[in-house]
Amino acid sequence: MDGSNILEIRDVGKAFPGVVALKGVSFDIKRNTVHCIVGENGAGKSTFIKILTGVHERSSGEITLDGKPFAPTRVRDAMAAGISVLYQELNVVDELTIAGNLTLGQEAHSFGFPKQDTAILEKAAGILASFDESISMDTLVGSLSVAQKQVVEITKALCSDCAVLVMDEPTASLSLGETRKLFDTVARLKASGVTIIFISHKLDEIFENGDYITIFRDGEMIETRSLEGLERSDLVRMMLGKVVVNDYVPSPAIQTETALEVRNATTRKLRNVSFDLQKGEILGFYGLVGAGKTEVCEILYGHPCAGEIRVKGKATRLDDVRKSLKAGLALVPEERREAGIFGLLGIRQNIPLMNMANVKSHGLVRRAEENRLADHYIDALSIAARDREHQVSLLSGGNQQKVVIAKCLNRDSDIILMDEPTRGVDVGAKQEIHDIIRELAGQGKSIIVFTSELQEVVQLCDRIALMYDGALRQIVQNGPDLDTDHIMKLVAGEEIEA
Amino acid sequence: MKQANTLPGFMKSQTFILFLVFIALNIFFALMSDHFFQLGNYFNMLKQSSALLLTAAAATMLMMTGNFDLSASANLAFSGVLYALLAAAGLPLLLAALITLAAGMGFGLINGLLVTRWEISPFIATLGMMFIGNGLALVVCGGQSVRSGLPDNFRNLMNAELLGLPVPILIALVGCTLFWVLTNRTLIGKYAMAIGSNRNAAVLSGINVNAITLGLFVAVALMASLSGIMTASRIGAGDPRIYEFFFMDVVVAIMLGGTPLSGGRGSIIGTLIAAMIVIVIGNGLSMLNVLIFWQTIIKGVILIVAMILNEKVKFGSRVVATTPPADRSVANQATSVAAQ
Amino acid sequence: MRWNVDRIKHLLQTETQKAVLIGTLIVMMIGLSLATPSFLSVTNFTNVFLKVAVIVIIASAANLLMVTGHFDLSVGSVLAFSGILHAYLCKHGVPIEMSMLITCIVAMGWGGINAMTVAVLGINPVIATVGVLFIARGFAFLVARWDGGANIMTGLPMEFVDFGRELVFGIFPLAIVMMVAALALFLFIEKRTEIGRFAYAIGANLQAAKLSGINTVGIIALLYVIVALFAGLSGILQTSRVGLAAPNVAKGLEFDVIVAIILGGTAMTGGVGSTIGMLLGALVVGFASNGLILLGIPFYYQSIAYGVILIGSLMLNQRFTNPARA
Repeated sequence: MDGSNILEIRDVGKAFPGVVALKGVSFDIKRNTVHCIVGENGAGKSTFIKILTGVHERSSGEITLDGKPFAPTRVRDAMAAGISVLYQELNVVDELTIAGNLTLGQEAHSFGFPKQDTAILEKAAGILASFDESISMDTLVGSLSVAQKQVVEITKALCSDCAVLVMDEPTASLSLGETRKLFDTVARLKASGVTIIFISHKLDEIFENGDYITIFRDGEMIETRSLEGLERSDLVRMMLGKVVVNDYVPSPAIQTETALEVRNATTRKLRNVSFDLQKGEILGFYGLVGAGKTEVCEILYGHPCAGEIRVKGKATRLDDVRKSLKAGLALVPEERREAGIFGLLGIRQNIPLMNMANVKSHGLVRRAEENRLADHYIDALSIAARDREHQVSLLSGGNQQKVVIAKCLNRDSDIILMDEPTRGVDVGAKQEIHDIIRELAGQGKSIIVFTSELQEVVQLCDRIALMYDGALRQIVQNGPDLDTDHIMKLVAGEEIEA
Repeated sequence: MKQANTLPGFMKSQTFILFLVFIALNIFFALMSDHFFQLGNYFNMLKQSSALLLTAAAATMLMMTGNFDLSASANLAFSGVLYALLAAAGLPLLLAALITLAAGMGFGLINGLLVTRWEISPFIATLGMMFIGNGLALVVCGGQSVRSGLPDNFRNLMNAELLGLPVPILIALVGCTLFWVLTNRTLIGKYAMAIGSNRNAAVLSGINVNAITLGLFVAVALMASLSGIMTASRIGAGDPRIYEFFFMDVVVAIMLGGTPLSGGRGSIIGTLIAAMIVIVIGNGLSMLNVLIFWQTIIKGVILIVAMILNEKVKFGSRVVATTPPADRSVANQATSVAAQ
Repeated sequence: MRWNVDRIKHLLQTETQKAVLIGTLIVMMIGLSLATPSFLSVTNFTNVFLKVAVIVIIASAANLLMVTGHFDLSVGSVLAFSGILHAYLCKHGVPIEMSMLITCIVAMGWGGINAMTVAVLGINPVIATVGVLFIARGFAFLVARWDGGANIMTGLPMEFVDFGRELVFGIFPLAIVMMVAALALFLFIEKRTEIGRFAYAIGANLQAAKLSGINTVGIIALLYVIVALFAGLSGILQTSRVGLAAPNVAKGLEFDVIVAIILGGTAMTGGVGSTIGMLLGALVVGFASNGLILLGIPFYYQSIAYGVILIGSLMLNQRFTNPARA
């Protein structure tokens, strides 16, 4: 570490039509360090990385790389300037050998015939061997493990003499052993003079590998500092911002009857997750991105897991969507457009699709019943639409979400799973959706809300299950004396005395 | 770059099994019919199949990128008619052929642009072009085969010999070798594979994905057009209705040869052997006086079986891909114990 | 809902395609009756409707299949095979009713193969249904050959043609009645049954349909089987009416069907479409090809028009419905 800056970012901003994703951030990245960037979804860090790697062009500001102005307009520009990216999803070609992958797109050739460039291949083989001596250059990439494929990608970046390597959640699909190997790699890269920009949601990794950290929130740079002496909970607080007034009201109808029991649920991502859900209760699952919330939702709705799940006391396998529905669960999915709405259809057609029984008599669909149902939900959930035939893809995000909720409510399931129920909806609609959820609980439904917004769990949920790295660390009771510091410590993975 | 090693093991064996099937079929028909196992018959089969071999070889490369051209048969018919018309109009045959090839290339350009610029599914885009091509073939000749006024040397292309080998066989040999070299010895083959296997990786590696896809569409169109010229020359006429199911033969050859619809891998040799299997079955059955309709049926059955086989491979690899590596669950258990 | 100006405006906006089709039909009819005296005759109209009937019977089922985002290229072959099989069985002593039953079941078997390759294995329908296109056509020729000739025309029992030429209530040809029945059935399925609702849901968003607990594979498979059944019925009908079973009939029928459906406003990618629109599309196809014949324009211009419609509809789709889809 010679202390000079390899990258200097000054007032860099990015505006998309209708959205300002990055509001003029400025900070420096020192040469030959591991510089972490953290922030929740939508904080602007991925926009920043895309500007740095030439995927997006910035709207304003300056970047200097090695003292020279840097403005990449294509991925290749950034690569040529020495900035390479290790993406979260693997970008290797399974059907080619390692050698084939390492040279892909940069082969030496004459008239399209590749020339045997032993210098490049030897260099690549040397780099590869420094990470993993067991794999040969002639191995087919398709036969490698995920971690080995990642090593191939890192090798490829190093072959092109990169000075800055961006790692975008590199451990997302790695096992512990593989993660360990990657961290060794990071240390070795740093030793060889490469600057690493490390993006992760896992705080352990950041504290283990990082030298400096930049925190993004709502498109702004909150702080850039050394990781030394930084408390985890302070970091989380900076990431999440201030939690405003807690206007939580307990659900009125919580009964001691257990609606759902999960015991020792274990999958690739989850470790021994156990919890109960009472009738009439709103249970929140909270954790940082990647902590395992989505996976908990999945094992209740169509994905297999090891362990035991009991619905109303009865052991049930929920490894198929239709089994879950039959057992009395229904899901409001996270990806509204991809998995929730039927965009080309009208509100009337959307609402009965999870349960046609309500609009049928004598086996036939009755239009009058559909109309009644649609009018009922448009009124009950205050869906702002021209009429019940309004095409759902043309509604606003909040109203689309209400249609998805209406579709789910029409199922009349006793247990409703809501994955990020208010993501991408405006403040007013958010409040309305919260009111709907409370009302449902009041009617004796059991609701699980999966969210990465602390504000949401604190306002809405009776109990809050705190996830960290695939494990359920604690379930805390909500109430006036709820300690948000305690929550932040838990989701940050800090050890707490029992 | 040793590409032969990069093919997954099963495909090497699939090509090998196909080869064994091919040999077995030859032995079977040789035993069943006196006329089958003769040099003349083999020359005849190869002459008839030269168009199929050429186009299937090119289309295999295109399929490696995950694309397909259904308009090849229309292009073949259109090119044959156009070539005959130009020849009948008194143009020198070479010039007529060049103009025809240029027109045939137009199909490839339009297909390629529809797929790369407009991002229309290659199946639908080329299906539309198939209609347009079929219609054009009939329009240019007014619905009638072009037979009269053809120069005397019109049939020479297909009936001449060079170095003791019929010219069409030489053309097919040169063309197939060219595509084998392109696939296995040049960067285009490697890039085509990369595009079909992981398009994103190809883009991020700086490969010009659209240019290569477009280029391969043009290559297939050129071969289909050349096939049209050869077929017209073989039958001595420009027939707008000829070889309607050409593209189906191409699909059967490619899929049986082990190239999946989704692309990512492919074998020119596999395609060629598969094409020869289809041809030998056709020729052998007609030698045995089996009704020609059985050929259609057998082709259909082969297509469905090949699809199921290819999909099974896909499903198989998916299962492997989603099974967690052994060390992961062990590691998870270890940490969960530690956490408690 | 009351009929006011807003409602009419809204209808005009949503039903533009149908309005355009009706306009086209009217213009075509006026133009053709002015251009050729033979157009406005009972014989000609009967001919057009008999052609349209076959398209509509198959397209009513195929329309709902395309609403799910799938299609079937094998209908022409299945029709030809079913016609031959029915004639062959009748000629060789099987009672007509029994023969129809067997033919329908075999036709559904063809649909079952398509259902397996497309719905279960998930292979692109363009390639997958071509397998059946080959095999069924091959067997059609083969069965005709077993009978001893290129076509089956002699030796058919008297009742055989009676069925096809039957006039319901003394005036309506059976084909027209079956067309109306198929239309009514699929209007009913579209408007009043779960299957209809689910078909739209599958085409609009397959992933959301699965998460809503809809049996997507089952519904797509069922529709493939019904399409094949209707193709089989059309084959029986056509053979009976003509009194002749030929294995080379209905070549390219699948494209008449697809183009009628697309003209009717059903997107190839699924999610939108209507049975009424399809009927209008089929009428336009029927009258257009009739007009070409009457005006002495070679039929092959139709092929070019089909290609342009196919590509054009997808380009429009890409432009207009995709923002709504994403």
